[in-house]
Amino acid sequence: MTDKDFLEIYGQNKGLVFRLALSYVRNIEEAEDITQEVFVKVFEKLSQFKGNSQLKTWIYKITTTTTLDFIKAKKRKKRFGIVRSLFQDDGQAMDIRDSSSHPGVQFENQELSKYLFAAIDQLAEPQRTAYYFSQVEGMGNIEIAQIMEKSVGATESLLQRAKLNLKSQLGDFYDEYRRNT
Amino acid sequence: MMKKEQWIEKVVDSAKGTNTLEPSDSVYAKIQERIHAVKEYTFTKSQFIGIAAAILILISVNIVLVARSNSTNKTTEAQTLVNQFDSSTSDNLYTL
Repeated sequence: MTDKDFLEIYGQNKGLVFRLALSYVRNIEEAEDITQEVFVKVFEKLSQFKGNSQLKTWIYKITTTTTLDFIKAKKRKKRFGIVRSLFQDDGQAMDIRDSSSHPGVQFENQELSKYLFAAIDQLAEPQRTAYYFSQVEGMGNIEIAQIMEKSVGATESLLQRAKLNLKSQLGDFYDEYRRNT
Repeated sequence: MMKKEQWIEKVVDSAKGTNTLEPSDSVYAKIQERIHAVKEYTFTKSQFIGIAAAILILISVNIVLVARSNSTNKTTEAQTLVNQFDSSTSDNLYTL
């Protein structure tokens, strides 16, 4: 593969990779580190890519795995330092004040977006990504189904469940919001 | 109840506009740096086969040479023994 081919792949997918990673870590430097890691893997493994799925699907899978590994490694490091995070992982109620806002969100929406991303964090993995692609990236159901290698029907029901769960989670957060304002 | 619904709507809409973010230009340069560093230390398949073949030839040549030198040593040792035997079993009793 020439540098030109690689640059083309990078140009077409860098935004999606970066923003998907950013939706998880909500830190520009960390999202850029993940983007770097993803494209090095893409370069190294491109010869193994069999073309059974779309290149975008394959890159999305690498992005998800790399991001989740990054978060696991970060949590492991944190556990050694902060005992409190152990309790948080045990299912205790999370504190929104600990949740970081998304760096791409407009200033006036930053406080509200903390609640949104804290609720997104509570969604199970496929629901979370489907919701992100649909509501944040603005993708259509067919495109999401292609990237996630699911049928359109399965994607629709995934999104429906994600929206319901998110609404219920945000309903719980509303009382806390009222107390804080 | 209405307020709660409105608040949820506002929260859901709060992330709009984040789908235009892009990584900084330095990211591609860093990726290139890492890829070229990897390239320097990786062998291609044909290079790997070439190196393996060279090692195999070297080992074979060594085995052949060691085997040859062993058989030559054995022959010389046998020859020495024969010579010694010849001289000790000479018919001439006065040349000792």
